[in-house]
Amino acid sequence: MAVIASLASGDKLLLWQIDFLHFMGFVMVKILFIEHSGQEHPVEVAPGMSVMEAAINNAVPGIDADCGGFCSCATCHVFVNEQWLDKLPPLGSNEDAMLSLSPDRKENSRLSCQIPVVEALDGLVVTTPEFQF
Amino acid sequence: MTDATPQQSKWSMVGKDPQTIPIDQIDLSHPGIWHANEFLPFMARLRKEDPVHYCAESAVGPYWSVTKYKDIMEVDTSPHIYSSEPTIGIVDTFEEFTLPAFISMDPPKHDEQRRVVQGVVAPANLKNLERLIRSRVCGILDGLPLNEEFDWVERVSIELTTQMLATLFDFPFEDRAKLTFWSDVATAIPGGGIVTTQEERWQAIQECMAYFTKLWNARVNATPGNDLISMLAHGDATRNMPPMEYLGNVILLIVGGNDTTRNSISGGVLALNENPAEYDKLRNDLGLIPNMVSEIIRWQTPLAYMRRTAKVDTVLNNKQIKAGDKVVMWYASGNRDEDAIANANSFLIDRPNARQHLSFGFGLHRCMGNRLAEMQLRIVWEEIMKRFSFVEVVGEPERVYSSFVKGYTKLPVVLHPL
Repeated sequence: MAVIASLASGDKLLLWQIDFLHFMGFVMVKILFIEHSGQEHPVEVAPGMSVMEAAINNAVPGIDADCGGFCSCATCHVFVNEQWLDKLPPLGSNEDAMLSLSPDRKENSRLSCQIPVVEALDGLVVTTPEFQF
Repeated sequence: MTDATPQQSKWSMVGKDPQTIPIDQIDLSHPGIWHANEFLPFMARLRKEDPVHYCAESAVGPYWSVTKYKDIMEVDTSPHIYSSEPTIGIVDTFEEFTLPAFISMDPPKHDEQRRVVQGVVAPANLKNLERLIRSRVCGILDGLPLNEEFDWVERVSIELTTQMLATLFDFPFEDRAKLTFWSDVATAIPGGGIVTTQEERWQAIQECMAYFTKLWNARVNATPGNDLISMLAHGDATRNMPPMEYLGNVILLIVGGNDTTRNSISGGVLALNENPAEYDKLRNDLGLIPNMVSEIIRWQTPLAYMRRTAKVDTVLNNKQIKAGDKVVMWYASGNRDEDAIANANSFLIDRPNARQHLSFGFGLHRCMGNRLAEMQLRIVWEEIMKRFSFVEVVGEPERVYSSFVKGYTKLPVVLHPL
């Protein structure tokens, strides 16, 4: 789903990152979502989905994902903990354009629908903004 | 204000059988079926039989109708193929009657101009406005008669959105009815009940220009305030904006913030009356209000479409579209697409994923005021439920004569106290 969504949005997803063994459920990846208030939401998900889907599937508050993962609403905005930034796929042009419309954008802003969950991101920490816009 | 029913045009679809009319003759652009509330079965047939449909002849010339959710999404998120210039209305505009505004611009200019004003309606700013909005909502609701028929559109929907605009612009409160008038004029079709000619429409827009120029001049010489005009007058990126662009964007904000929310306020009352089981769900669980607000916005779809113009030859759902063709995304249809939204033709206030609807559009032109609209509707319903057991619709609603603004000119109601 994440793969299809990302390709449909025009942003290149690195296909080699999708290791089909992960779909067998052998590996789980830990992601920590921190709300603006500081409230923490640790989740464990199988690779293959997006970070946005990891939040939605685990009822993590602070992510709306109005467009359902097509990089076209910017309501799954997250701030990525600095140490993880260089492990993410590069910012796509659609993602950059959508983020540029957010008044809350920072250097470490990303749209979580554009970050596929891969084993290399085990331990990822992201903070959700006070508001999605 | 649009009570006058225009004479039956040869282009009107009103009274025609949506199932048997030759499909190439279906024309969603004519306001007749929207005014008469007969548009749904025409859209349903297009979705099923010809989802990207070419209408070769209409009062507004040839155009494509895009009626499926996923195709609309594709058009809306491909600004490099489908341009918002020169206009997002189905009628081609005459340059002398058009003001520049970022809704009808492509990147990069769109992005630059939008960035300047979007902070005003960003959630962080709205948080400070909530108390004021609530007090104005309470003031309006407390002044309504009980057990007696009145027009909800005039007394609540128009009054509330007008007060809200006056607040955001810090517009002289006693003159606030002018805002509503200018908003109606900006989207009016000459002959549709508000103005009779383009010249008359243009005259009203010039009056609006003069008024806002006066406000600009006053604010630019005063201490910076939190209102929209002051922000534009003092903002680094906007203080040197050409006057026509300032006014174009002001009018865009007036229209965007006015009849859209107005018609969702009326549409929610109507939808709950037509779906009494949903009204009961609401009475039993006020926690459903935020979800219901999204469902009301989907169900109403206060702007029925947005138009794009193909920049290049392209293919959409197996149809060849040529550079220069008009492409109309019917949000009102995509929001009823059963392939994208489960039970799309049912109004369900506890619907899962209620936020996934097309009413705000998607991509770079996605509605900037969406959070303000949702907040206004949420507060309205929170305060209605504190006061009234039933906002009863007691007569037929009257609808706007437009295929763009999908809404109501009249909704007779009686209020029953708790």
